[in-house]
Amino acid sequence: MAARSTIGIIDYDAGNLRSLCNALEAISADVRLVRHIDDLRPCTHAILPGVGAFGHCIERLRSSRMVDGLADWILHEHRPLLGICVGMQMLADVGEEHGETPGLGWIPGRVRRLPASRATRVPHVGWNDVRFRPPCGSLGADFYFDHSYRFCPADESHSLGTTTHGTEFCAAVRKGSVVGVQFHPEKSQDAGLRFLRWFIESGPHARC
Amino acid sequence: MQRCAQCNLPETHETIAFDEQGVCNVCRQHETKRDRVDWVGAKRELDALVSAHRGKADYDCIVPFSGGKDSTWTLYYLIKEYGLKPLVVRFDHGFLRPNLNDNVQRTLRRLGADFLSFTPNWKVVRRLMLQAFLEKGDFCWHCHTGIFSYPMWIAIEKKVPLIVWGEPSAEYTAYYTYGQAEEVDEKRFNRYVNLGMSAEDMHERLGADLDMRDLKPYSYPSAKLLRELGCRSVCLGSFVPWDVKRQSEVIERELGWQGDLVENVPPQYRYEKIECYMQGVRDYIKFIKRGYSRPSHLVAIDIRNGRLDRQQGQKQVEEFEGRRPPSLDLFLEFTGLTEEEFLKIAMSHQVSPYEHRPELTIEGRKVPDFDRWNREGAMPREAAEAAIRRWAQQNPDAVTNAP
Amino acid sequence: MLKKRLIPKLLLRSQSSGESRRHTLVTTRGFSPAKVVGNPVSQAKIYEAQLADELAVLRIDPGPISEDLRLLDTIERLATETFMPLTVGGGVIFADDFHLLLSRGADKVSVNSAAIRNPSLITEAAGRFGAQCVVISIDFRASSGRSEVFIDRGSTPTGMAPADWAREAVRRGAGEVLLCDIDRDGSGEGLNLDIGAQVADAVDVPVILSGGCGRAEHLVEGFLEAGADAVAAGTYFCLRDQNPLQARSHVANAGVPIRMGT
Repeated sequence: MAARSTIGIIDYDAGNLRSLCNALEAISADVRLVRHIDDLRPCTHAILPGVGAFGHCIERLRSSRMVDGLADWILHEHRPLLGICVGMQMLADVGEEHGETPGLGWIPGRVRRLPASRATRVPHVGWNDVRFRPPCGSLGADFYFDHSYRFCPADESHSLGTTTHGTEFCAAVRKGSVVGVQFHPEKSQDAGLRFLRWFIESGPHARC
Repeated sequence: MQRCAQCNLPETHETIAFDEQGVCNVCRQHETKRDRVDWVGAKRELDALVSAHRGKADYDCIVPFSGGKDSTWTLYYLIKEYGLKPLVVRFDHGFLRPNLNDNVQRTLRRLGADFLSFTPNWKVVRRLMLQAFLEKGDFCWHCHTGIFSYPMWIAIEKKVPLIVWGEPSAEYTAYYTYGQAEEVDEKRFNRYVNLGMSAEDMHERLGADLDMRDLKPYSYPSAKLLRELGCRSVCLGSFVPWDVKRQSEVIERELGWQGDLVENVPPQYRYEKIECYMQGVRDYIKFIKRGYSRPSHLVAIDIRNGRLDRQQGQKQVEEFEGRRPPSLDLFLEFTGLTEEEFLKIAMSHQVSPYEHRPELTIEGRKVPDFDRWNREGAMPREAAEAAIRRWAQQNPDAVTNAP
Repeated sequence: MLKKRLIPKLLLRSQSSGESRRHTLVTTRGFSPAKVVGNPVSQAKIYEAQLADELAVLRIDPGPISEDLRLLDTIERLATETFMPLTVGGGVIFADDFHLLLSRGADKVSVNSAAIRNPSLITEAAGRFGAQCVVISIDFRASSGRSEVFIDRGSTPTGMAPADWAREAVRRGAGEVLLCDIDRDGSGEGLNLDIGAQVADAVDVPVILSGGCGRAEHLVEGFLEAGADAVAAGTYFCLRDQNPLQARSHVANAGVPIRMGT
């Protein structure tokens, strides 16, 4: 990378940020924890992490009072934002965990439960291969997943990558300057670092 | 045992995996090396790396050195191709053969370079050898860790950030592939060099009764120290395609480098592993654990390079592999073990599905300098017994489960 | 497709030498500490370099984990120096313990004895943190001709069969089951394939089988015969010339889907 990038990690007390910070530092990015929207100012990229229940995370994010600022960041300033795991799910219109919960609505779609069976156990836990749509195919690899719900984009063109567990479903989304991934790049060793590097260097606008 | 359809290496070879054609990943890596690596681009990278470091410190680079074919070639190449001023650093594992020292002197006088050699405390080495053999069925822990750690400490001390090693591990195993840039760093050290035990771990396993300072030569420096140095630790073989036969011919011709006979290896492989007189025991233990050893490995390389076919290779292997090396007598003295104990311990580390049949073992031949090998420093029997007793107490199933 | 997983088990025990205390890694035999094998952070880094799929870090000292400040620091250090999926357990009693461990760097938290005594703990933790963070750890041993769940590090019988308790724990919200055969622990004789298969058949969540791996074949049996989604091993990687990279080759060569890339 030419100049160092400054990654703002949205810290709204809904996830373990340690590994994410580590991973970003390992690829020579500067990391800033964003607890207040002003902390985002000097950043070149933003990451929205998320672990736990959809409703719980949305509630915490709204309580942090950063939602409007983030919406500005992506919709008006077109700056890059990466949602990880529940951070990706929150981008949707609605989450179906514990009834219907409104999401951020930045990428149209719904978050639905993965169907479980003996052959297809849920939570979907472990390493699974993600196929990225061309021309991002070279990002494809096994990534680490740990989730029970998945993002169903309303518009197929927003699907950036898929994986298969029983059925094929969306593992990555992209719309404008926003990218979302269901897997944990910060837990996915070399493949994960490669993905984070792509997000930082090429970003959502890239043709890969 | 399943074997590679091409090179015949068995399934017990570390990290081997077979594809749908039954060909192993090491063979495929060689195809990548031959057909898919941009060696022109790689050489240019090396040129850039060299010029970035030339003249910036007391030495242009550190060359970790044993005097064997690989490090001799690396030193030769860096001086001839680039006219670099290296500091040659050797970690003396305690078993250097006489012929090797002649080679080292000749090489250094013909090429011209500053040379540092370090010999660690034998009493510590002796203890580490026995403990590593008990814990992991591999007595060379001190050597693996020392060779890869010690030069890093010298680099830090002398403030020389560039360290150039020899062959990339992708030549022999799939811990790394030819597609990846293999940095010779702590990750690699942890991946397969230290047998899954850092110096701190070894300290715990020894019962924490050793002075930690005694383990410094075997400890990898912290990431912080190496970052501060701006360390670049690379393999020459990542930039220039490795060809052991050709390289040996060059150093023989240009430096008068001489190969040697090694225990239980076909004589035409005179360039191989001449630097250590415990090599025969190492190979024997590998055979007991995995059912193959150096001859299979050397033959596999020749098969891949089209110098031998499978049948010819097989014959060579049968004639030399798995014999009891005369150097085992020295090993038993150094570790204080009886041969029966040695066999029991080695067999407790067998890698399935191989099952060793000790009754089939025949005696191997001595090599000419056997009587000149240093036998000083035998382990007192009480010390060996104490170590074995501790290990057996904590690990009862290891001995009973040995098939 | 989803790959099977190899999970090194790191057992942490507090040790004192002179004035200081530290955590060491140990292997166990039938749940009794057998041997000190290293330093937790060092070993975690090594397993990460050896491309282990996940790590299971289990504290074997008595008492609540929330009061073991030194352990919490060790977990934090470990999570700072590696970035791979981490399951932490051993003395988890309250739902707040989940928050404590997750905030120190764990991705999943395993709960054992406390869940039997207070099954609503599972529901509360799953509700607050998501089922994917909640691992129900079930230890069992042979008792009167059948397998029985034991708690308190194998000392207290519960009268329950592993498959029954697993079913109940999952019904209450556990996202993953970690099974361990106490008798086979550290023996090298092989995994308990019968109980593994029974539990795998009783639940729709992933099952991790452990206890007894001694040869690479045992790993393969765990996947193919017991139907485990993951195999966890402690002693296996510590006391032999073995590591996750070698093990996964063996498993792949047996036709089991496992992660091979780096």
